[in-house]
Amino acid sequence: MSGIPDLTALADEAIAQISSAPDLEALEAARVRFLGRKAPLTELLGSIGTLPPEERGRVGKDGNAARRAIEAALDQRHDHLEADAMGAALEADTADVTLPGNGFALGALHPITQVRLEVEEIFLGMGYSVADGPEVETGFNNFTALNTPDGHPARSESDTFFIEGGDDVLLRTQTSPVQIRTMQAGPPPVYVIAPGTVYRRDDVDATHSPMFHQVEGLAVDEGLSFAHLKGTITYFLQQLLGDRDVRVIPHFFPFTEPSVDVSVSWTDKNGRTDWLEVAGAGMVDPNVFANVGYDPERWTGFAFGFGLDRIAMIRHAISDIRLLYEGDLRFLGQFS
Amino acid sequence: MKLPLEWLREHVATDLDDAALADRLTATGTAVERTITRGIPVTPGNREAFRIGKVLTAEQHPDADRLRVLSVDTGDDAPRQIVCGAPNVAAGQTVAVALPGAVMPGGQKLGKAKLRGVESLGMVLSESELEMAETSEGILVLDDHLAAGASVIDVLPPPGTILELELTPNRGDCQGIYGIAREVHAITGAVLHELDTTLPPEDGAGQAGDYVSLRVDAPDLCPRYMARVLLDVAVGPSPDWMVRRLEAAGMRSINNVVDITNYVMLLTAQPLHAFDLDHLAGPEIVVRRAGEGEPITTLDGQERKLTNDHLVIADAEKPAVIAGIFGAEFAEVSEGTTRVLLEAATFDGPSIIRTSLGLGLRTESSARFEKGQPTELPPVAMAIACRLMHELAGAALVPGVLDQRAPDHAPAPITLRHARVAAILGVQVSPDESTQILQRLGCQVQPGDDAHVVTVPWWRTADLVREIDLVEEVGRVHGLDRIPAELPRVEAQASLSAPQQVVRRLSRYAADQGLSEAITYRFVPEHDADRLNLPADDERRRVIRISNALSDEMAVMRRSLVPGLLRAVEHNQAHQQRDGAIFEVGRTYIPAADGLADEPEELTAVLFGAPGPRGWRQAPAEVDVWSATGLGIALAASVGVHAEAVAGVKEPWLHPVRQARLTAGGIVVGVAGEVHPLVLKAFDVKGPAVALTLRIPALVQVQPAEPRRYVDLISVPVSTRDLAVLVPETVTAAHVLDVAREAGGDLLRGAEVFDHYAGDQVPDGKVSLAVRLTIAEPGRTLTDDEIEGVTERAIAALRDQVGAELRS
Repeated sequence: MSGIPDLTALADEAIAQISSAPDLEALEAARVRFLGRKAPLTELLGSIGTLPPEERGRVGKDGNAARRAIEAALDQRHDHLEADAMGAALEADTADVTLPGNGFALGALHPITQVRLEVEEIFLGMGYSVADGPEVETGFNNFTALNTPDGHPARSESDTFFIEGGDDVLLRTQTSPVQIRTMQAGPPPVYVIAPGTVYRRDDVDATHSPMFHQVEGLAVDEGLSFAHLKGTITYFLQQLLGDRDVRVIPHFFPFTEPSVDVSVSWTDKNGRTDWLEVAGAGMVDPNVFANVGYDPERWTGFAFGFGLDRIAMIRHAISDIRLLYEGDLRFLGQFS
Repeated sequence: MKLPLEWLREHVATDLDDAALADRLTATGTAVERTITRGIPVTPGNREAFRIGKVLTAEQHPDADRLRVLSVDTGDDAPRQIVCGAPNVAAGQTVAVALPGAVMPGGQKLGKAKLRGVESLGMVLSESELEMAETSEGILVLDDHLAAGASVIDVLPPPGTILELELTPNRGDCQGIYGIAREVHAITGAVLHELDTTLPPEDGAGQAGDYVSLRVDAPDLCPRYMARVLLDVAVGPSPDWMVRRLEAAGMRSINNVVDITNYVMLLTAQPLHAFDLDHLAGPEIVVRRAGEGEPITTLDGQERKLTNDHLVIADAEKPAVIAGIFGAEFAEVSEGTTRVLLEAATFDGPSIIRTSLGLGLRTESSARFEKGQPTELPPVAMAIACRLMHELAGAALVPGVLDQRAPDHAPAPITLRHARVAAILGVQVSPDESTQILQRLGCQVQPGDDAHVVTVPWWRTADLVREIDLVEEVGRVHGLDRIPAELPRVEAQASLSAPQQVVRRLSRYAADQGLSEAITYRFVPEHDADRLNLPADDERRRVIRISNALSDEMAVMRRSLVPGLLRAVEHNQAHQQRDGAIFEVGRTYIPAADGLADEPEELTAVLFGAPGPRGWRQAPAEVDVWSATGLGIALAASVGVHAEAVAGVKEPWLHPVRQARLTAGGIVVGVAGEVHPLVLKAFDVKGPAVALTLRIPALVQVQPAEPRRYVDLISVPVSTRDLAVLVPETVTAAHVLDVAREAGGDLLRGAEVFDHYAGDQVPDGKVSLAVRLTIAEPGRTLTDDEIEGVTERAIAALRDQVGAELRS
């Protein structure tokens, strides 16, 4: 027995030294000491053949167990010391993370486009298609078919842009002629919106622009009533502008009857709540149906229209409409 | 229109208070824009707070030229110091003073104030501060017999509420107080008092026809002309009550005769005209079209030239009135007038509009005639006016009426089906209710189980013509707020067209790449074509021209988005934005054979300076032709179109050689390049600036119809071979790649240029290109021989076809 060291004590001592090795150098020294070629354990395991046969099994088993325990302790301590070293190195590698990060380009869609896309999404979700019509339009489609006869003040040179050499050809003053074109193109049912650019002969100032944007909506089907108009416009405005009260009051438009002005409740920056007019709407006038060959006894429908510029201006608190058309990057860049 | 409620309430006995009445009017379509209190509001403190004051002294304010510091006796123990800015204030005047705490007509409470450092313990009032006049020249100076400290409330007329109404164009009948009274009756059920149309005694000598004759030459423009003669007229001031009502309704008192015509117009919506009979040549009244160029000097002292399209009321010699719009000086009633011819007529609405627009003259009278007045209205207004002439001007009415009237056609009764009411409104209105509503509106109703037969009153025959008109009336009086909100069940296919989808994708991609979207005016100056350097015969000089453009800068519809964006760049550069990237998607306008326009859309981007993220260790590069081509190819790729830059085009507005055409599937989808320096100069833009235009219809046309098929280049090795070749500088990279691709065959999956070099170690006239070949076949591993074969074929073709030398 005397030639065989106490393997348990040996392992315990080795593990204790390894665990307290302060750095990788000391750890290597401990490895040499306990597992190196000259280490007692190494020598013991190398000399098993010289032991009496009845001891070889036990010594071999215990010796190997001790070696594995020591190796495990070495690995663990090594990982630990390495992590510490890396941690220190990382700590030393300082950076001011509040400096601006690398820039990535981000432009912006125009606020009118943004509103238009939202409007389109809401109506696409309701089953409406997005229709289109020309801006250089006939007086018939823009006015006559919409119950605004010749001689009406809106058809005068002071209100409407006319095209040189044209026979009552004009820049459309509203998106409503798309109603006519859509209905002329095919039979009901019709569920469309028509966003677009329109023109009126107003001088440019903070609240007027000779070019602006509207969205027209038209639904024609069997059984459509004013209740559906009210439901549709209320749902739409609440989707677009948030959960606000929506009010309709009777109004007059040549191509709808009954006609209404649509307002939403709006609280200004002083906390005052008022009705803000945002749209016009109404039941399609039977004359309009007659103009496009729809049977007004079978089909009913509603139409509505509103200004995209106005909604964009309300939403973003833009007080001067000219900003929308200057292409000023200091303005446009705010909407990314 | 201004509606004094005190006047309204004389005709309709509603018990709604002012605010409730305003709400009800708005809810039924007579929109109340504004509610104004005229005079001192009735509040618990206002009797004490508005006092008669005596101005004791008036001194110049030490620090303000226009202000005076007054000492005013307002009945308190000591005089009160008040700062006043009115030019007419003077010591010794009796004035109206509002003390701190007074509630003003707008509802605001008056406080103590300091004006330029001097304390003011009240305010000396003008009529405009009390909303009794639109403007005031100065303070209100009262009678001297009034005692200091007494309440002003007892001196001024009682306060009144005025509603400012926005009438819809179909409601000509509401352009008079009585019309609104009828409306209030209809919407509230309040008792409506009938208008008193009893004539005064007809005690003037003779018959109207003895004094003047009437001839209507243009009955198409004048459906009714009615006139009466009044003698012994005493022109003078109007009584206070009438002046107050006129002022409350926004008109000024002139003299009793003119005031009566205005008063009756405000009440009935029927404009009247009073002539001095002694100034009419003939005396004769001729209703005729004006001669071409015929002059008239109107009341404002202006001489106007008329045309044959204008209707006039003339005497035997010349026009005395532009019919329904404005009178001439010579025949007006003035102080010396004793014999009056009073006119009540109806004129053709569209003709009034044309004349009013043509002459730039819009008056209270023309505004009412524009809508077309019923021919039943003149006798009503005439009777009221004659009685007032008798009562207020002592006039003696001559028996007999000059009256020419186009034949009447009674309106046909309208059938109103109950089912139709329900179908349009989406709510059941009982036949009893609709009967009641229509009767209150003045209709005669023959009730029926399925339908009513309705005869509309004469004052609504212009706008109640069809069944749908009656449905609207029933709906608005029943209350649109009572109709439920429902969503229809839409059985339609929602969709976006291919162009709509392409525009959406392109716009979003451009914005994501750092470009900001602009919207510029679509009408542009015609000389944009010159600024763009377009040759005289360039097709793009054909434009849609606006005949009544606001200015030369907005004269024609654009053929290109480039000028608008260059103007935006100029604007930005003028505002210290040296770098930027901006784009617009929109239509261009090409004159079409049908008289309208083809309106193809394009996307144009302009990049200037060195746009892109700039940071403490990042500096973007200045733009050049490759900024434009690269963006164009990426944008096209974003909609699935594989575009290539092709050299050798000559867009006149781009740099003669630093420009490329973008093609895909054999068609041109766009153009990109550096903007020509002359064009930059013409638009006052500082370079560098590049532009890119993509044609939306072309992109849509070449968009792949089929979904892309997966190619397996993952489970097989993919080889790359890099070649460095020297080629003559006249050979384009695109050509080199084309040659390599053709020679490489199917196994050559890709060929691209990854470096380009000219200069040291490259012979003059040559460039060095580095080309990477990608070689693979889906599903099969190629042999080395096959790979080398592809490479060698490419090298050989480049050598033979473009004179390339392989660099070692």
